[in-house]
Amino acid sequence: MASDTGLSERRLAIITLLMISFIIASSLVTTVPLPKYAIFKRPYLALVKIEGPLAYSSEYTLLSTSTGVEEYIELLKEVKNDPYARAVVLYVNSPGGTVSASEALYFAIKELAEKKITVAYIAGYGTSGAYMAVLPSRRIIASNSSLAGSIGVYMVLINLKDLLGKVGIKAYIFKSGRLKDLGSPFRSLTEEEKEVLKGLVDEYFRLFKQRVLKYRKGLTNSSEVFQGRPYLADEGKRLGLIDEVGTLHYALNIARNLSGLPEDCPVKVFKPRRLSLLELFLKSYGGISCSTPSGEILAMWPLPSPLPLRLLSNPPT
Amino acid sequence: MEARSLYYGLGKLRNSFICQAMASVISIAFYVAIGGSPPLVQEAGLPALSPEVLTYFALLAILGLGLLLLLVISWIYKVLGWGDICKAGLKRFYCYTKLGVLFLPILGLMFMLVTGLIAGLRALSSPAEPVGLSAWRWVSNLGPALISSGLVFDGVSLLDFYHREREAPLGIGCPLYLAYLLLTPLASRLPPLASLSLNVSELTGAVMIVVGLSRVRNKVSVNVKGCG
Repeated sequence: MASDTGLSERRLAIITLLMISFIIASSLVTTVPLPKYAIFKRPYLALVKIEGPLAYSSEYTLLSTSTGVEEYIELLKEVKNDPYARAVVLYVNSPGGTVSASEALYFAIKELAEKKITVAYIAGYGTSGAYMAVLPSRRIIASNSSLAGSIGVYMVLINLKDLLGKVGIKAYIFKSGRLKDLGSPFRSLTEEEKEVLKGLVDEYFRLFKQRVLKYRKGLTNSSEVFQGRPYLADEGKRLGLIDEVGTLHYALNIARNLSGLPEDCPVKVFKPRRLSLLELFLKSYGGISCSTPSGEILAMWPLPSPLPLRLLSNPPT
Repeated sequence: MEARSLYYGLGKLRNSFICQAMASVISIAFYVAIGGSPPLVQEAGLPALSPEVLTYFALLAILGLGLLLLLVISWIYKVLGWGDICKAGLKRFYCYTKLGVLFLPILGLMFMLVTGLIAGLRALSSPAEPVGLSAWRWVSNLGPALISSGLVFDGVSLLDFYHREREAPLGIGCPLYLAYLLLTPLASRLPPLASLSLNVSELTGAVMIVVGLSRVRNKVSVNVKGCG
């Protein structure tokens, strides 16, 4: 049947080896990282989603996961360093969180806003620490039913002294100085300690207020917004907490217009990586953590939902 | 005996490429269905999982399973086909092809499974690190490369058949098929349209090879009948 014997065995082997070498070499070449966003050859609008209470590190439980601000800061850095991201819309739905986490996010947004057009869009909650974080944005837009403001900080200390006494548990504390166990749940606070703690809260509030006055020019030192209550979007606009009331679409358009991006420019959504079910299970094997706010100064509204430990404690004074 | 084995082998190879052509049709359908690129660009406020979206994903899953099944059947036919041709004793290289087609994809798959598992465990230990950007990436890329390498034996042997028989469809189909195999590892670096053209190249190559193998098989069938 053959009209010819075809290629020699040697030639076939050489061709095959050359081709296999090429395949292996090219598969290794593809692992050399290309500059990120090479697929986005044209400018785009970045939409960064910041949702949930602000804590410094991520927390994983089977019942809930909370994203740490570290992950949001990474996303903001990514956007800041990407030359194709011409403008940023921060989609915020957060009641705030710890002072340190809110502040870290505030500085990250401040750096971003110095480099890129940044517009904040409050969907739901943009209160307390979350409100502070978005202050450096060029514009703050809120949806009609959202809440903004709640400028202030608070601290909850839980005292277990009476409870432990009832069950016969005694705690002995050995300390190097009289204020070293400040806020201990095993004894009542002294007047001096109350003053120290109140001083801390006041100092944090002073910083918060200073930042609000820096970015919201319509507000004065004696504005009622510093009483700590949250406001609905319309009222917030009237008081000068936000710039406009609108939809997300409107916020995106504002960012497009401010940055000179065309109507049809793509929107790239940035949000923290979601864990798979397996990852979630493995990460949460340590059990459900009790994220009681005891001893931590919070810039958060509304207050965290009652936890078992708090139900047993005396109400904060 | 030699011609009979060759006849059966060519038939199995033809079936293998029919499956492969069907698989590339599904790949192209997949490409068109998902718009050619991962959903990185999306308008804000996309609707949540509506029944339409779920149906769409279910359809994609069925297509994916069909694709996988066809590829496995195609691979089995390749191994059996080259086994028969090896038995025909025409060339030693066809026996190497049988071994290459059999073992390299298995090795590649095992490699992918092991590296995938290790990468998964590493991702669990540090969830913030994006999977695929770690040092494991170059190792994990070797899996698909080994699979492609196995199929290179297939393509080169078919090219040899073209040199033996001078069947024009094989002469067109083999280079297209080999080009597809050589460029597949670079697909992630190619623009979406180039990736689509790779699939089209595979489809055209597979169809031409089917036609070419049928013609060669017809020639062999004359010899088989002649031998009685």
